[in-house]
Amino acid sequence: MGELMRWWRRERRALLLLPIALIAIAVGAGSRVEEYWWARGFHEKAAVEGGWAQIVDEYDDSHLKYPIRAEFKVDSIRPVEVVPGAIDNPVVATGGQLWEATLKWKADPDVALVGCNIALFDRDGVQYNADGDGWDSEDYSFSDKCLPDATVGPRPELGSTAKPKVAEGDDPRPRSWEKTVLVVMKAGVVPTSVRVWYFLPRYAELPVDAGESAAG
Amino acid sequence: MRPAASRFGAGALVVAALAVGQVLNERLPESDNASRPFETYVKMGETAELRAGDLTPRSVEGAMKLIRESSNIDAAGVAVVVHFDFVSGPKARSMTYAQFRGGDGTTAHFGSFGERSVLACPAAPPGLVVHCTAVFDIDPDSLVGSTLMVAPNSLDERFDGAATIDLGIEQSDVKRWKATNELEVVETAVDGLEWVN
Amino acid sequence: MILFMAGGALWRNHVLPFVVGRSLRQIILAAGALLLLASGLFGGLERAEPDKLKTVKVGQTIDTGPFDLTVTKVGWAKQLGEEFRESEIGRYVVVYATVTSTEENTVDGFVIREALRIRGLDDFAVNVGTDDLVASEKADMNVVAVSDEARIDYLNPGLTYNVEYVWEQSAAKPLPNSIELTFYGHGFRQSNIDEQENWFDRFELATGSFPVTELEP
Repeated sequence: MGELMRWWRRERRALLLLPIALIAIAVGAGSRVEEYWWARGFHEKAAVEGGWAQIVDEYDDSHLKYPIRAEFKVDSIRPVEVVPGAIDNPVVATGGQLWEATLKWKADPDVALVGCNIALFDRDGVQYNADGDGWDSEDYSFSDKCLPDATVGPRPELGSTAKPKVAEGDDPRPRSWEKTVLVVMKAGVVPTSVRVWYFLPRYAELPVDAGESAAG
Repeated sequence: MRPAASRFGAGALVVAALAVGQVLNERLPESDNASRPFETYVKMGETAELRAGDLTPRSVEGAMKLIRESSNIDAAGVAVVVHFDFVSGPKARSMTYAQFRGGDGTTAHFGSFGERSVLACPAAPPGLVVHCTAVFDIDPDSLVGSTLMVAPNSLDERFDGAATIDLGIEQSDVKRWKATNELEVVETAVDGLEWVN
Repeated sequence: MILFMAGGALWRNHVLPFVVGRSLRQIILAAGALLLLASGLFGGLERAEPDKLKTVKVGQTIDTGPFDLTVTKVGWAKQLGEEFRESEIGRYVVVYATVTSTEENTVDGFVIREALRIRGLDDFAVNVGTDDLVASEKADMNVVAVSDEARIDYLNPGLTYNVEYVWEQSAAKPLPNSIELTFYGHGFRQSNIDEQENWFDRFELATGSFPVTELEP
C-alpha cells in the first residue's frame, strides 16, 4: 500500500501531464478533420438580422484576396410549370418539379460577389442545387445565380492579382436587386430552407415557408 | 538499481517498443487496402445502396462496333456496354470512375473523359433517375466471370461506397457479341430529358 | 591562389591531425560511408544502364515496357480522314504503328503518347489544333485508331490497335525525305506525390530513321 502511495506521489506530475499529452496527440493527428470535414460541409452559419441573412466571406487564393459582403432575404419560392420571360418550354426530368426561387439582395456596389452557390433543402436535409440540373430549355442562358444579369459589379480578372473591378462599359451594380433561380426538386417534396454560400464551411441560411405557396 | 542495469533495462524497453511497432505495422492493413472504397456487390436488377445514392445495374450487351451520337468505335477486342440506373442520395452526385475486373485476373479502368472507354453518369437532382452507361473495349477472353466496379470519385475513393456489378456474362454471350457487327448506344440521359448539360 | 593556400593550411592544421588521430577501423568505416553516400547520387551500387541506343527499322517491334510498339509507315498530309480537317498551319505528320498491350492492367493513354517523339525538326504545334510552335521533341500529338479515328485513351490488357500518331506542323519548310524517331520506354513505380502507381519513368530506348511519303488524300 505504501509502495503504491509512493508511486502515486512520485508520478503525479506525469499523471497530470498525461491527459494534456493525449489531447495534443489527438489535435496533432486531427489535421484531416479540417480538410475533409470542416471545409467541405455547411458548418459556419451566417447571422440573420431582421429577416436578412448576412453573408460575410472572403476570396483568398493566396495571390488575390477580397472581401465578400452581402445580405439577402427570401422574396418568393414557388413551384412553376412555365417561367414567362425566362424560358418558353422547360422540360423537366421525370419525377421532378421545377421551383422558382426569388431572393432580394442588398450589397455595396464596390464589393465583388461573383460565383455564389444556391441550394434548396427539404425537411430531410436533401440538397437541391440551383445549377441547372434536371431540366432543359432551348432558350435559357445561365447567369450568375445571385447577381443582376447585366450589372454584376466588380469581378476579378482571371489569373490577375489586381483588385476586382467593374468591366469597361458596364454600369455599376445597384445597391439592391432581385434575382430568380430555377431548381428541380423531386416531385412531392417541399423546400424548407434556402442556403447561399461562396466558400464552405461558411454559409447563410433562411427558412422557407413554401407550404402555402405550394398549395397556392 | 545499479546504473548499468537501468541503462540495460531502458535499452531493452526501446527494442521491445520497436518490435511491437514493427508487428503492428505488419498486421495493420496495407495503406492500399485501408484506403480502398467500401464495395457493395450487386447483380443485374438488384440495387446497391451507396452513400452517394442507389445504383441498379440493368443490362449488359456487346458488339464489334458501337454507333453513338458522339463517335463510333470499332472494337479491338469486343465493345461492351453496361447499362445502369443511378439515383443520387442526399445531394447530386455523378459516377466518374469504373474498374473492370476480368475473369482471367486482368483489370481495366476508365473514367468520364474517355472516348473509346467511357463512363457516362452525370449528376441529376436527388431522387431522379439517371440512365448511365459504361462502354469499354476489352479482351473477350476476360469477360466470363467479370465484374465492374463503379465509384463516384476516381482520385479519392476511400470515403465513398462503390458498387461492384456482377456482369453475369457467359461464354454464349461473348460468342453472340463477337458475331454482332453493330450496336446502337444511347449513351446517357436523365429520365425524361433528351440530353444533360 | 589564396583559396588554395587557405586550403593547404586547413589540411595541414586540422584535417591531417584529425585523420592521423583515428584508428584504422574508424577510417575504413568513414571511407565506406562516404562511398555509399556518393554512389547514392548515381543510383547506388546498381549497375548503370548502357548509353548506347538501339536502332529501329520499319516494321521492327520495340518492347517499351508496358506495351509493344511497331512503326509501320510515316507520312504527311494536309488533311486526314474526318477527324483532322485541313491543317490551318500547314500539314499533319503521321506515324502509323501498332500497339499491343503486354500488361495485366490498363495502360493510360499518356504512356502511349510519351513513347514516341520526332527528333530534330522545328515548327511543330505544341498540341494538334493550336498555332503555338515548338521543337518537334516538345510537341504533343494525338493518338487515334486508324479504323474509327477515336482517341486511344486507354490500352486494355490483351488488345492490339493499329494507330496513327498525329502531329501538326507548319508548312514553312518542306519535310526531309526521312525523319528520326525516338522510342521511349517506361518504368512502373509509385508516384512521389500520392500513392498511385503508374508508368512514370520515361527513358530513351531506341532511335530510327524512317522514310516519309505523302499520304493519299
